[in-house]
Amino acid sequence: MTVIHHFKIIISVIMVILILTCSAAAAENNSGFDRQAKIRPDYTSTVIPPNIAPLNFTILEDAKSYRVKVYSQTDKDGFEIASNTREIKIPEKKWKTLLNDAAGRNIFFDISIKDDNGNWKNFKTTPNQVAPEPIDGYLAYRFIKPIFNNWENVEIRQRNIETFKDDQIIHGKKIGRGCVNCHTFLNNETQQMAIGFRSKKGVGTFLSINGELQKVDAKWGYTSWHPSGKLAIYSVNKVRQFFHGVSTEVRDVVDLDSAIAYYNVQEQQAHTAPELSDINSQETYPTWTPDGKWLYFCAAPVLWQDRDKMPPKEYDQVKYDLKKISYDIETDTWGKPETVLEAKDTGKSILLPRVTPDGKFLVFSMCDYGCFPVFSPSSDLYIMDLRTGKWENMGNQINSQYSESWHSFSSNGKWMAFSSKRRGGLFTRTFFCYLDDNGEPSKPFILPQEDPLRYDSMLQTFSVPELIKGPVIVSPRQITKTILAEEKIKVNMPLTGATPKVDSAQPWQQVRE
Amino acid sequence: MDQIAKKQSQDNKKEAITSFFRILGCTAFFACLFLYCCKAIRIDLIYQKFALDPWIVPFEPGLEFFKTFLDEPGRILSYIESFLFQWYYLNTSGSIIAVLVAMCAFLATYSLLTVFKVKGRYFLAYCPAIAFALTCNIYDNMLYNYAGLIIAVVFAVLYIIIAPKNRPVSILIFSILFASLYFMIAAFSLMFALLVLIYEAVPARRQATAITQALIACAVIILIGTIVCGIPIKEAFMQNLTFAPRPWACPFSINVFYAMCGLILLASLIFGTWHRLAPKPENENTHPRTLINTITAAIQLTVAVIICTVALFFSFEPSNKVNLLSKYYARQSMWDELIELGEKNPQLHKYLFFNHDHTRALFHTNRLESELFKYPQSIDALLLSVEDVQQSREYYEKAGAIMLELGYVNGTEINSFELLEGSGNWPLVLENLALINLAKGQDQTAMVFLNKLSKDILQGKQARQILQQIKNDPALLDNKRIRHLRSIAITEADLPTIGYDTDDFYLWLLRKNPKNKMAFQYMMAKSLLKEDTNKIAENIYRLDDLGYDKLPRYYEEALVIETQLNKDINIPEKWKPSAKAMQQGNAFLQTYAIYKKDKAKAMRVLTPEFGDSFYFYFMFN
Repeated sequence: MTVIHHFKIIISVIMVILILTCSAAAAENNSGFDRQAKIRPDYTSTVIPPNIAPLNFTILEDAKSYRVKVYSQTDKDGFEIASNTREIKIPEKKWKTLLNDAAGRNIFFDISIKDDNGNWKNFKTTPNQVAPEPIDGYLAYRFIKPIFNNWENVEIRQRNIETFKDDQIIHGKKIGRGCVNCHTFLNNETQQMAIGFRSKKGVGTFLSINGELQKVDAKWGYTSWHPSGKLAIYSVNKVRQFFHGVSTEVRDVVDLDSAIAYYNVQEQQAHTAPELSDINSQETYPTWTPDGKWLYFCAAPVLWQDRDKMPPKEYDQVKYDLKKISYDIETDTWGKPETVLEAKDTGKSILLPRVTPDGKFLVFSMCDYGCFPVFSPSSDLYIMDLRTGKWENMGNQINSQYSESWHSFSSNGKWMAFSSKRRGGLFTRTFFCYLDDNGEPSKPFILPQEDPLRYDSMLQTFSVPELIKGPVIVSPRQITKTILAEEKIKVNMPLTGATPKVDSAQPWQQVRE
Repeated sequence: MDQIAKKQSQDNKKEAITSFFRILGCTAFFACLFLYCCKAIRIDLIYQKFALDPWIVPFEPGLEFFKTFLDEPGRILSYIESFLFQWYYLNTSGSIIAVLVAMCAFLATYSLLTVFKVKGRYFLAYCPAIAFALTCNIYDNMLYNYAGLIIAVVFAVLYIIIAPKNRPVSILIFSILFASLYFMIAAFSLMFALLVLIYEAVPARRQATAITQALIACAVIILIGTIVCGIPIKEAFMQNLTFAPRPWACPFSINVFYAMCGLILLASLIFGTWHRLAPKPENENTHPRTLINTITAAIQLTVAVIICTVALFFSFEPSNKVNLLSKYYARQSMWDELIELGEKNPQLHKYLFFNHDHTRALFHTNRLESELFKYPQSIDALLLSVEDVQQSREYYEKAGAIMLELGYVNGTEINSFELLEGSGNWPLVLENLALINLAKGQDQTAMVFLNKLSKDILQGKQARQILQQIKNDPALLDNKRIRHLRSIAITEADLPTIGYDTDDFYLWLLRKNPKNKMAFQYMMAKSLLKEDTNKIAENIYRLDDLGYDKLPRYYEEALVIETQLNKDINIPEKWKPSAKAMQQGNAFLQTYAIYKKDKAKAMRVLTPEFGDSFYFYFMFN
């Protein structure tokens, strides 16, 4: 009896302990927050590619230590990260495995913090959706400080989006304090690419065509490769920069004149067409449709007689229309330009058209006036359904009170990279969003960095983000060597892009004569 | 045996005594050098001279920053320079660094000369330290060069100590050391190579090894410089041959530096050869001779001190210090000190930038309206509206500062960005950019600059404080400076493009805030300097907005002249010139009329009473 009695007591005590422990655990679980943790960058409720690098972030909550459980619908155990600092760095291998399995499903961050009393408190789960379609593995971008008149460090770099590897494509210093820009790729591939340059050593365009490196003795402006790869179309702009005495963005740009020309790769010659170089009109931002049968571009009437005066009085009256023109590459014949969307209907200047790889949509930017959306806080991104001609603002999640511009698409058309100054109005950062079959964008997310605080003190901007399938295969040294070489392809330009070299008083200026 | 042990003990004691005196002498020398750097030179003025220099990279702690120095040979030396230079910001820490560098130069050279068994090495070792002190004495920054030299010499000593007699191993050691050095210090690795070659060829008598090592050095330069880092082959070698002096380094410093390199090489070569050729005495007395050694050391130290004192005395140029002090006072907003400096050194007034700072100083000490004409004036200096200087870093800095104080934030933004791109992430540029963005209400952007600035070890404190303030009070209502900037900054987007230093410019500033005292006083100062008394009369009513209770002296004098020139002028009753002022004006004009034909005489007569008056400027400018 006694033994049984003792046994009962022991069992009871154990039960009591167990109950107390369980209720304590339950209490701990319940002592959480009825909201999601604040994290920066904002990786909450976004759609991410299954091949993106770890979304490292900072937890904006005061605590002694931090814990994040990362898991998915398919792998509920996931893995846990503990940290004594706010910075959460997700292990790359575990992240990759988790993400691969979660394609088309959700992943979750369960964030908990330890308070001063040593109690752990949970926040509500932070979910993100993983899209089934991957994004192109690399991003080519221009890495510069916000430049006004002078420059020292102008770089074009490439970032592996799947990891944090980041390499130089070309540095302006290597070509004599030069400026490098307008990096353009054929169909998201790096076998055929172009980079514009201006330096003491000259002005021109670097071409890499299937391993063959060339230097063309003409500076290409905004460029688009024909999908066949047989020609590249580009604008020639008489660009001038000026400064505002007041306003959020100090810098502004006006094209005093512009036109469009194209370069035949086989002939190694440049041409233009009367429809693309009307003397009374400024044509710019050419872009091909994926079938190569249509060229979209922007055009505005020239409002000033004096094409040298700066800034022209009517600089804020210039608004560009969206036009298109047919082209037959076999016969090199152009159709008649058609107006797709008029500035007078939108009340804004239409710029930077780009067609999605499936040919269904056209995304463009619109700002209050002028030709340079990056310097215009009013610039927003719009999408047009090319089947119906209907267009609309891409919404508050894509657009902010600051400039959104310079978009490009992944080769599968499911991802759009774009530039946004939403983090304060000055520094351009690259954001990505998913486009569904109806062209509906998801909430965008910023290009992840290994150090989640990197953007918070980074004085450089990420400009002109171009998604590419793989890394640029030509080394920086090869590009530099080609640019510095004496050999060059002389083209009989129908329009000259005579740009002053960097030693001139205003080296950034590009002049069309 | 006991006797030998006893003798050994005595020798050790003697050696210890000699060493003690040497260390004592050495300590005294460097302590004096520290005091000289602190008190006479003021090392922080070197910082003021080279802050904003594009060749020096402002230091940031952390691996990310270090990684940016791994792209080319020699960049690690730039990193070392960057680290050391930051301490120059403060006089004490800067002097410590300067003396430490000098001391390292002494120790490295002393060790090298010891391994080469150079006689008189105690004196020779002081030479690089004195040379470095000399460059500081003329306010030159040669941290890069001397750090490179020290590293090269230290590596040479290391090689000589560890290199075994086995040739392949010593060649291997040389290759590793040279390759690392070439990557670290590029140009200065040749110094290491030459010292090793001298050692191998002369005292070690291994000519074949020396030749092999010379070939290896060439191969390493080609391999690392050209093949790995992509530097053109000519450049990879030329950089080494020319020692890549900084473009701004003054010829004196470069020559002194070359002389030091030559001296070290020559001493190694001569004494290396001498030791090789000289027959070894059969009964060489190797026992330390305490007294003689101590006396020799004392003599060598005395000679070094004399040379150092004479060299420092004759190379010091007080005007350099005065110029840099004016820069320092302006940057630190030490306005009283700046005015005093100008009074003690009238030659400063011939410099446009000093005049500009001086006018700012007069404003900040409330003396602009009563003492402007006490000093030489130039209208161009007011807002630096001279094209000749408008592409210089000094212009960007000073124009940016005055525009910010006036409230023309976009103007400051342009100038600050030119500096940011052209000079680098210098704290004073980052601070301006943060303030501009806070004034414009772009707090997120401001925080990027503040975060960057907060990483600065010595100058990041204020940034950290503001960041903390933003955390507690996002609108920064408690921060007086930001509140003031926001009250004067013209940021409205409906204003047209305005020209800097035009009449409209001041009117826009006053339209934004009629209480913008600086805009008002500068506008009036400009009118005075232009002798535009009508403009003074037109704007005198603004004194009400600004809460003046008394008509400032120069405005009153201008109004006296204006009433003489324009009888119909309408001046508010409250601001009409007093009868006394009218009397004074008349007295001036009457005296002037007497000597009208002889202006020089008129000046002489009027100077004692009216020399600092607007009347005088108006008549004799």
